[in-house]
Amino acid sequence: CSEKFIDLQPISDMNAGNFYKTEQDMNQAVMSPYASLRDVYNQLYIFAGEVRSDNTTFSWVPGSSKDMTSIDNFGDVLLSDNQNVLDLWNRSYVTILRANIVLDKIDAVAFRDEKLKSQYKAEARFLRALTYFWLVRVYGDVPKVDKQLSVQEAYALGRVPTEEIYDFIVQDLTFAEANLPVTYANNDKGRVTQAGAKGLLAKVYMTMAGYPLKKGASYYAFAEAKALEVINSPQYSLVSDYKALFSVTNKNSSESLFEVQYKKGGTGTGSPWSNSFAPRFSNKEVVLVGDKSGFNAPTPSMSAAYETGDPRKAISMSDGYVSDPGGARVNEKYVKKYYDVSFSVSPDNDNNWIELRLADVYLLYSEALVRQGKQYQTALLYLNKIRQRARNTPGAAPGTLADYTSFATDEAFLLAIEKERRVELAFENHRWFDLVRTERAQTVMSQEQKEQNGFDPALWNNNMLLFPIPLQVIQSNPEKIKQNPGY
Amino acid sequence: SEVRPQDLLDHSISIKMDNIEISKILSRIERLANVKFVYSSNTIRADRKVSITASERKLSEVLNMVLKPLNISYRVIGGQIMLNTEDQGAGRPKQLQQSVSGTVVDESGMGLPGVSVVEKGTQRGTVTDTDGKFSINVANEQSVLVFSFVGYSSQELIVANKSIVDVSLKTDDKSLNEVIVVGYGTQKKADLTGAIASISADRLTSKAAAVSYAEALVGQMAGVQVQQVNGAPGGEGLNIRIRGTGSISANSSPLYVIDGYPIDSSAFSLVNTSDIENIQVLKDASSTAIYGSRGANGVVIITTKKGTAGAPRVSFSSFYGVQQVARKIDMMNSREYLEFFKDGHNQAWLDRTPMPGNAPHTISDPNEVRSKYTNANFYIIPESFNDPGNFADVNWQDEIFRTASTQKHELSVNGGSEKTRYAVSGSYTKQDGIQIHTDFKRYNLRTNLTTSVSRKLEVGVAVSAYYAENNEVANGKDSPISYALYLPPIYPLRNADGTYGSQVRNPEIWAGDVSNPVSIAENVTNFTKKNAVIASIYADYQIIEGLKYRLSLNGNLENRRQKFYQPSFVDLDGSRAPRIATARAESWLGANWLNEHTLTYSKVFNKHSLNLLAGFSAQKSYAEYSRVNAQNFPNDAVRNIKGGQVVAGTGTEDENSLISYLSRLTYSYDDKYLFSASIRKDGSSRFGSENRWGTFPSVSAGWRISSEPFLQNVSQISELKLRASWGLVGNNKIGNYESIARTVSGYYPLNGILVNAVNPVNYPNPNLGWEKTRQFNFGLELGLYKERVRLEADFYNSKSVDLLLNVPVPTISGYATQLQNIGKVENKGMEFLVRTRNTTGGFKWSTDFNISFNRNTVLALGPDSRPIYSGAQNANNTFITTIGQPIATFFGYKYDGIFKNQAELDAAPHLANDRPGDPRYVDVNGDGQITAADKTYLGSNQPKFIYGFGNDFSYKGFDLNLMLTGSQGAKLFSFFNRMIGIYHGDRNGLAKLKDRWRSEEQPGSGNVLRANRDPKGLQKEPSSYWVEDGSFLRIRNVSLGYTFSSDFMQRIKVRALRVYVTGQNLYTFTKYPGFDPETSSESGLSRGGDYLGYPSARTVIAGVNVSF
Repeated sequence: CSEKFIDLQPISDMNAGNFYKTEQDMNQAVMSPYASLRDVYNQLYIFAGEVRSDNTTFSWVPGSSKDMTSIDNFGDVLLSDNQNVLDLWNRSYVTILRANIVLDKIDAVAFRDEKLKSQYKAEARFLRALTYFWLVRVYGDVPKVDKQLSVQEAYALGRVPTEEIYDFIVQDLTFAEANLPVTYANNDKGRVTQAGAKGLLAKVYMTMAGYPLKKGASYYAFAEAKALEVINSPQYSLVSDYKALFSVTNKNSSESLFEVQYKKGGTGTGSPWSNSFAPRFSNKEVVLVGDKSGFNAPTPSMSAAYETGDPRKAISMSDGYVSDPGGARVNEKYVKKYYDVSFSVSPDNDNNWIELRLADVYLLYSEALVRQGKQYQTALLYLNKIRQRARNTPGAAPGTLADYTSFATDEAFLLAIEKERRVELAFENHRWFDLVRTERAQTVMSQEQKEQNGFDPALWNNNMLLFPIPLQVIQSNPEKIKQNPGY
Repeated sequence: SEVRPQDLLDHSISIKMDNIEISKILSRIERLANVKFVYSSNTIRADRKVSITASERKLSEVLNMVLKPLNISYRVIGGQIMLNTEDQGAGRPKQLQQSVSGTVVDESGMGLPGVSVVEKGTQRGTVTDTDGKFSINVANEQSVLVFSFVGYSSQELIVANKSIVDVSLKTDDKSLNEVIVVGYGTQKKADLTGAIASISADRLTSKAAAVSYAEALVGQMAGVQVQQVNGAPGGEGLNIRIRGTGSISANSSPLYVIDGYPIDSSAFSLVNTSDIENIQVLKDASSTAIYGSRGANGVVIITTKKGTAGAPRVSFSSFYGVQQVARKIDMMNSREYLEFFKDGHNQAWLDRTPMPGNAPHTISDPNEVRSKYTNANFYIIPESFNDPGNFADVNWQDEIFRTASTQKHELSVNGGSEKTRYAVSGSYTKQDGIQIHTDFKRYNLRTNLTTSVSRKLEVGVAVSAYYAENNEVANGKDSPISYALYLPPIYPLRNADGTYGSQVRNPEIWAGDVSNPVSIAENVTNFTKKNAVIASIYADYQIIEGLKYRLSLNGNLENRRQKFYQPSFVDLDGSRAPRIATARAESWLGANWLNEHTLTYSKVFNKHSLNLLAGFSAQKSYAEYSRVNAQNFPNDAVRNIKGGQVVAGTGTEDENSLISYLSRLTYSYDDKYLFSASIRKDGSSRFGSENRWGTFPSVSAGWRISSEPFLQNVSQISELKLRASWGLVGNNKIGNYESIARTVSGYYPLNGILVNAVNPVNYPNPNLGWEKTRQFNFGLELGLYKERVRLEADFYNSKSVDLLLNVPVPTISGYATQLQNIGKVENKGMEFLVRTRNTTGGFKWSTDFNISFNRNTVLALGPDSRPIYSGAQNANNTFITTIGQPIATFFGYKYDGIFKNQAELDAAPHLANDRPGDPRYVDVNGDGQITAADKTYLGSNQPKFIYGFGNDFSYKGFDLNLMLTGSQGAKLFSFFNRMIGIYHGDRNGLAKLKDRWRSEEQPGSGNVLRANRDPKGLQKEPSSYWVEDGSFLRIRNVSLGYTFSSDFMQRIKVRALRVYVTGQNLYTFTKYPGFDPETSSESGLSRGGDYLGYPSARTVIAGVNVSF
């Protein structure tokens, strides 16, 4: 009796020991790593993918800490105790844990449909691969965790070489590609599809081919092949209106390969970007209600990168706003891509985050061909398809964004693709990693930082291509986890 | 087999004693008949000498022979024989009025004024005048007069046929006979073998005037550190640490036991201060081991007032007073701030590397040049700043502080018959806060009833309930109180357009992000209502002589509701209104019950005295929380949930249970050799399935050397006792389900519809168990000169092991921490208490002094001895908990003055960006450069010693009390100071920034950094520049009272009347630059980080106590 009296089970939480038993349980377990994507896409991946690059900066926030500005300014040392650097690491590994729980538990669960079981595994492995792709690009060598760890096991793991992480990612994505459905029934829309896995794999191969692994031509060929498979999938096509691509009424569009799903309504599942990107003291012209954080502000060079008359600029960003009705114009740039007109409660909007879309794959495909020195016309075709969609978007100035017909050198071709990627995919977290893998970061960033902050290009150091390993991560396991060079 | 009274009296004895004091005869009979007499020596006059001879006679006959002639009656109650003077008046009508007068003197023969003289069993009474003289009319010759006076033993006299009665009162050595409440019982102070501090009722009422617990407890007990960490109205913001901090992450506050009922929550909100009879604090492990898994942080036992037999005594007490902030922080004024601002922006401009092709910067560069740079706000100086006449000069502290009233009124009735006693009280407290828009109201009701159903059965019930409501204003980093310091004095309270002036609202002088503190305090609603009931019922049944069974049932219900509304028009968090109005309604419910069974057995035979206790208890708590959030308010007209749309909410429930078996043995031989041992076995739902039960033993022993023959002739020593103890106790203050792997529901939208995601919550640990503390205590008690001097000293060493610690684990596991049993912390210390009665004549003066030293050291941590870093908002890793240092030691760079000039800079290790005027740090590792490796220990909030010093004076009806308290050696990390001045440069700063470094020619005091809007070095990093000495000496309480003379009282027909004036927290001597060295808003592993709690108040009250 006394034993029973003191054996109390949680009332408001579930006891994990009684869970992970049925197909239904496993479905809810698979949703768990999806749900934690919000914790990184809300802000942290933007810091790493955009703010670190020449695309955006922090418009100055009063009291803003070095934790933000040092990600942006190469003149400031990015300290290892930076909170954002720590959060990105920790939250990414939360997603990995959640994926690993699915993979550890699922084999013991009886499924009526073995294909469904494989699908759940494939989804978990895709999400794990996606997260590792981020980790390896941000931190370089990272610990490889492929199951739930006991504390002792966690202490035993050190960082493994970047290449091994990439191999792990390729294995996961190859499995995912083979076991994910091509499409879903309506009520499962938003889960990753086969094309999502293929598209990510194409991108992983592109990255492996470039810096730092520099695996070269064969991996460009792998990327080309995977990209082509996606391009040839009948389910996917470019959305004709660039603006419609980001509309809350057009989520998971025909162009979209993988989106992080958001939903407003006070359930903690809404997206925050329109408010977090709005200039600090802006008004209803920018967002209707709510606090404004003023980060991820486009730089002057980003604003100048658009060709005159390119309708994508006005859809993606603004160079300023009118301070009050009838007031003066304030020249503070801000990102407009993620703006839900109908929202009423901030920061709780309906916009999804598009992690991977067909336009990206087109441009990767084009680039892969150029880098292999083959199918020049096909490469040109896919680059021009992107420009063509843009100029057919309402708001385009007549005669703008004409098709490229030829390039004097491959170099020029690649620069054109790079520029097109910058404006087409602006503020979608791709820019920094494009600069890194193509070894263009030093050239581009030195110049941009010099103009912006008086940065001395002589101080450039390739160590800046990676974030430091978070101090607390090292402190919690100093024998196994060593710092990146330069930090 | 129960002993009936008649059996007892039928016991045969033989005795022969000639002309012996009756007390000795009774002692002999006690041994012969194995009985125990209970009597008051004042009533019986046990020094009268009689003779008795009896052979094999029944006890009843012997007693009749001895007692009858002396008019002493007896009866058997509960196995003891109670003696009393025979009430021959019973039944006879009271006819005669007899007048009695006389003089009451003290031991030295001086007349004693203010002594209460009451005819026993009646309401007739008087007090002695200034010469100790009195006069009173009594019923008849059998009337008994009771003489009583604080500090003296009461005395009773039969009037007989005397008309003049002179009485000599002896100073009270009752401190030895004082009964101390220990866990599950009571003990005579003289018999104690553990370390227990106590505060009695008279100390509580005379010193504290019952305004708050802080006043009642601070500085009164050695080894008990009471910090008033939050001065908000209501006085519940107390932090009590008994003998240091034993735990790293589990809660270190003591267990509270109210009338035998251990409760989870803080007693400070449950019990009304003036209902308290006394407070005892069990300090050493041998005393607390009887509370097992909850005893590690010490135990505070609160006993409430009970009814006493007699005619109803109606008391009314009332006070009214005013409060003010005890100290304001000296900040720069408008003109000084503008200079500071300009200086700071110019310095930042000079530091800025010029863009390629630009000339080196000078302070005369115009804004057009400066504005071309990113972060131009660091450099631009608005044109208007050059004329201070453009600006207001507002002292924001004056705007948010006020003189506030405080009052309390209480009515109580107390009385009863021999069988049934009652105490009923009701009170009303209202306190306005010294910060605008804060207040507290409380209504209290309490009743206590005990009755003897039969000679063997006593039952009692106590119910106490309160309702309270208060308006709060946030404190801490971003709150009106911080903003009142941050916000420069240049802004008007209100702008021309009616909006509140602030940095957020006045963009033309835009410099930062601080909103208006008055606006937040006035317009943000934060209203709490609380009510609680605590009820106990018990039955005591005497099974046989000496063996008693007690059943008690206790219940406690607490409710709290909080209403929050933030209107759309308030600027907040650096963002300008209109903002989204938000409302929140939260409610908490806590329920707790305890069922307890105990058996006690007492036996005295010859010189042996034995007491046994065995018990069983089961306790369960349940807690519920729910919250609803609303937004989308069409306007600010309706300010609750219904006025908007519900956008979020949650509800949680949890419970825990504890089951216990306990036992204790106390034994003494000849009142000289004392021994005690206890054991408790606890099972708790909070721990892992593998470690659910814990056993907690203790032993202690004492030796009253003063009772030994060889000390009998040393008249100077009235008491000398040595005691030693050892015990093992536990701490179970962790979350309710920490050992279980839990999952929680989340959501992910698919096709626009939310589906469930089940997420892991915590790293499970099925081996999770108790935190254990082993403590040795060695104590000495010494009474000199008939207890005119009393000294108590305690020495202890306690080691806490298997600490409950959220150990940071590699986050690659997907978890940040795991709750483990790990590490070891030592607390060792000394406590001294000295009480002296310095003069005893008409002018009386007594002194109390206590001082405690505690040293806290971490001895072991985690599997790899990794330090634990902790921080606070905007202050990561400011604290370190590591081996060899106290818990929560400040960690950072060691500041070593400023570089006054380039030569000093060149001579010392420094950072590349450092300039003259910047701080110099100690190159701790001596590698010639300043790096993170130079971070070091910068002190901690653990004081070297704390002390209290009280003096009581009385003279002819006047009484004066003076209480000083202090703390020495604790450091504070002044977060708030770091947040102002240098940290932002735009914010206002301490007045001492006037002495800052301005140039090599004007280096200022040499100890204040230059102003700099954009410091490039380590200025913002944790360093000893921000660490301050928190030592203080406080005039805690000065109280002057007057008790009215008998003549006056008789004219207005009151039994007693006292008026008083009390000043509390009158002045604090300290170097600390904040509001108060005790009020810091951080605790736990960030203890001593000061982000500004609600400041403590200086209070002056005047009050009156009347009883009829």
